[in-house]
Amino acid sequence: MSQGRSPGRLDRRAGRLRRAGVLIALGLCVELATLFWNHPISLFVFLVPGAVLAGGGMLVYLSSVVTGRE
Amino acid sequence: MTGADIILGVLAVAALALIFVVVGRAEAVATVGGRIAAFAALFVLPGLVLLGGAVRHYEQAQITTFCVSCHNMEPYRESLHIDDPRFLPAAHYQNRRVPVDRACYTCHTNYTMFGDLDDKLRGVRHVWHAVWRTASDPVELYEPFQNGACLACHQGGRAYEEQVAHARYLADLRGGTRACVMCHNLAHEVDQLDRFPRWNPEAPE
Repeated sequence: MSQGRSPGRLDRRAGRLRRAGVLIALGLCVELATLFWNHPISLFVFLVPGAVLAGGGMLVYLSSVVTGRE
Repeated sequence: MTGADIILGVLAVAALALIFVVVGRAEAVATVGGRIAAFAALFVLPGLVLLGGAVRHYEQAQITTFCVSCHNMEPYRESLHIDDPRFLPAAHYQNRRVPVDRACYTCHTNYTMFGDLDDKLRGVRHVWHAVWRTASDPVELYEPFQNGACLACHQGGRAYEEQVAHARYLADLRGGTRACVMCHNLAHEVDQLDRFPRWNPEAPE
């Protein structure tokens, strides 16, 4: 593998990226939906689950970047 | 839908598209280009949408139609159309003394250093009561109406300060020991709306 990384490590990182991607995609879909909804509850849906999912996914991605360093 | 909404929507769709590309080719993240794409897809674009969305919702929460979109606020929207100048909210709304699209927020915000934050926390409380149907009927303020909301616009105004009744109690009004609503006591009066005629700007003279 490139730069001497083990296949297992790359798989783990790819798995984390997929998890981050799924979480962020779900969060973005929810956030996108709230843009078309002018109601007090839309703010809450934007925050939970929208921002929680997207923010969680971003954290998963950042953790994969930090822990993925050689 | 505003231009900002469209930009946010485009950013979100771009982020989603890039996420599918990055997640579909996770092995490409080993390259410099892949890392940049992953950083954009999984951090920069979602972060921008998150930030922009939060600002958009924050701004949206100040709009009159937002405030009256809950069923139990409908009588308050109606009260803005009472055809009687003694009614404070109606007189302010109909004469454009408050911005029509921010009528509720202008008078019911807290003009202090952390007023906006306080408003949002109160807003959370409003929604909580609305969702769980624990709001009083008719809706009541959590605490007495503060002079600060009136003085934010009127203080220093000649017509306000030279008015005899105001001039007499100016210090008390500023200090909050005398409430504006002690004299200006006709507000929304939602429990007796049927008694008053409505102003309809569309109606022929």
